[in-house]
Amino acid sequence: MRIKKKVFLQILFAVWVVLWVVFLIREDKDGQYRMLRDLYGLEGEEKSRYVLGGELYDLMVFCRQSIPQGSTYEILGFEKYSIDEVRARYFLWPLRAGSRDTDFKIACRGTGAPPGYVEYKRFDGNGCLLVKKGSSL
Amino acid sequence: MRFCLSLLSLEIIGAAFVLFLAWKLKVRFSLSEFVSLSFLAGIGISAYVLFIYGLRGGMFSLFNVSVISAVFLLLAVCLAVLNRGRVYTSMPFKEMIPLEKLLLAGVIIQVVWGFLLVIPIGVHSHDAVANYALKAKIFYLSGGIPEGFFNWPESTVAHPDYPLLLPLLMTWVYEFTGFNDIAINLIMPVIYVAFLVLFYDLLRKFFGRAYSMLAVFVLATIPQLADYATLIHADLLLAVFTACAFGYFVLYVKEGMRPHLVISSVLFGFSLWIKNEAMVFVCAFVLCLVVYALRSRGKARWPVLFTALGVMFVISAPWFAARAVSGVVNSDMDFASLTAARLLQNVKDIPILLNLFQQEVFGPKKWNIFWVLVFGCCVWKWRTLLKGKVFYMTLFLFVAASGYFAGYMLTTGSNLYFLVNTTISRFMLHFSGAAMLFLAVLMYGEFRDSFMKAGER
Repeated sequence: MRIKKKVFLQILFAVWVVLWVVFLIREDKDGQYRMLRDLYGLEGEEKSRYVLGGELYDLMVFCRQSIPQGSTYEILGFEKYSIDEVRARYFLWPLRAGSRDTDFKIACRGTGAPPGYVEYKRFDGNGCLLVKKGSSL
Repeated sequence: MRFCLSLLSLEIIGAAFVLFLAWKLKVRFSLSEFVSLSFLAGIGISAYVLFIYGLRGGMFSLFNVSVISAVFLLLAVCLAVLNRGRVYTSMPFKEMIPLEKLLLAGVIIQVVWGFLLVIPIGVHSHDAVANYALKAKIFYLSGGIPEGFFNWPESTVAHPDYPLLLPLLMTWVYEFTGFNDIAINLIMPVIYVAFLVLFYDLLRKFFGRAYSMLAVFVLATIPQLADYATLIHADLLLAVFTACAFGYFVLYVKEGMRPHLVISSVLFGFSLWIKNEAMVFVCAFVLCLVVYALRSRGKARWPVLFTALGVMFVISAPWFAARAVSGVVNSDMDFASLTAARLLQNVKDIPILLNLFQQEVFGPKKWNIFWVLVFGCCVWKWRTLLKGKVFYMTLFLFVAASGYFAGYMLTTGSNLYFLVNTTISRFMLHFSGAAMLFLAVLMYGEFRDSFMKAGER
């Protein structure tokens, strides 16, 4: 009985080790090996660009340079609190994100201008910076 | 280099505190326990100090954190002199048996893999950029906690009501490194290593070397734990503080030494600065203490109980006072908007919760077979669950798990499926360290003879 128990425990440990190795080295859903290889070859801001995605990164850099400090903005074209939207918000701080009555709207992915906002600056890529109508900014 | 300096400052701050305990309570530590416990204490104290300083309108700067570190260094030196070097218990070094070497190699591989994953990438995971890292960026670039921060809308920063230990820890590091959200990613694997070292030291107070290493190997290679060691999320931190606090509490029950209870209370106190869920563990801890005091009549346990409560109160009071003054509301659980209909709906959704729970328990991707082992062992060893120190472990885990279940039932935010689906795996992470200790205690009898024969010390 004692020997059977010992063998049972050894099998459990072997299962643990096999599963550990499998899940440690597997190519997971995010493609970690490709991502790691790419990221180890990048420097500084290129890493941020890789994480945000080239198109979104370029638009965010454009917005960061165009929106005056102390203004508020809202990003349109992404699902609220989606990974792209929160990454963009993180990237843009100290510009402060808000909702509804913000000074600027960042229209991504071909989103049209909401009522009360007009084009402020157009980005070469797929995006546009909108400002509140009648704003002195 | 600057990142290492920030770690050193945390170590110094924590060391001053641990030396104070050694002096005041005449407690001794092994060197690795001293270093790892100091680091965790340093994390808590630095966030505590920064929070109070920030609320008083003080500016966060390299100069200020350097002055704070220097003061603690001075304290540490004085306390080291007062202790006259009687802080460490030295253990003779004996060569490891082959099994220990293999297990240690496994732990090292896991740790190195974790570092390799975080070294090239900046902060990127959802909760990090929406919450913890964004708050740290706000505090660092604002030079403090901005006025009205706790009442900012969700569209500006996620969950301003959440405790601030992790963002303040990151801010502390930023004061040394400048805003560098690639270097900051290294903080989580460092905490993971400190945890494994302290957990090993705790296990060594219960078991032999090889068995302790086996338990650390199992803990370190839980995929969910290792994954969270590469993300800026507070969940791993809560698991770390809860597990270590729980370990010292069980040690107190085993040996009856007051210093262990004080350390446990300190770690539980700091856990309240990490996540709101820590309240559940603290309540479970207090209940265990009350039961312990009631069952130990005539042994003057009550003063010890009040000491523990006092320590936790002193540590957590500033956070709860600030919360009360600023009137923040928990976005997931607002009792004011809890209706009978919502409660009934949550109760009706219990099968959804149970289904997702069983997926976690039996799915190997996040947990290997960890929870199968824990629950299987509970069934196997059911006769011992209510005996001796195991009784307090069972009580603690049962009460805490019931608290989480009650939390799900009282939720008023998103629907229960969404909430459980997005939180259950990380909530189970909070229990992982404590459950590992529980598992190790229950299973020791089965392994003891084999390890003795293999030459374990």
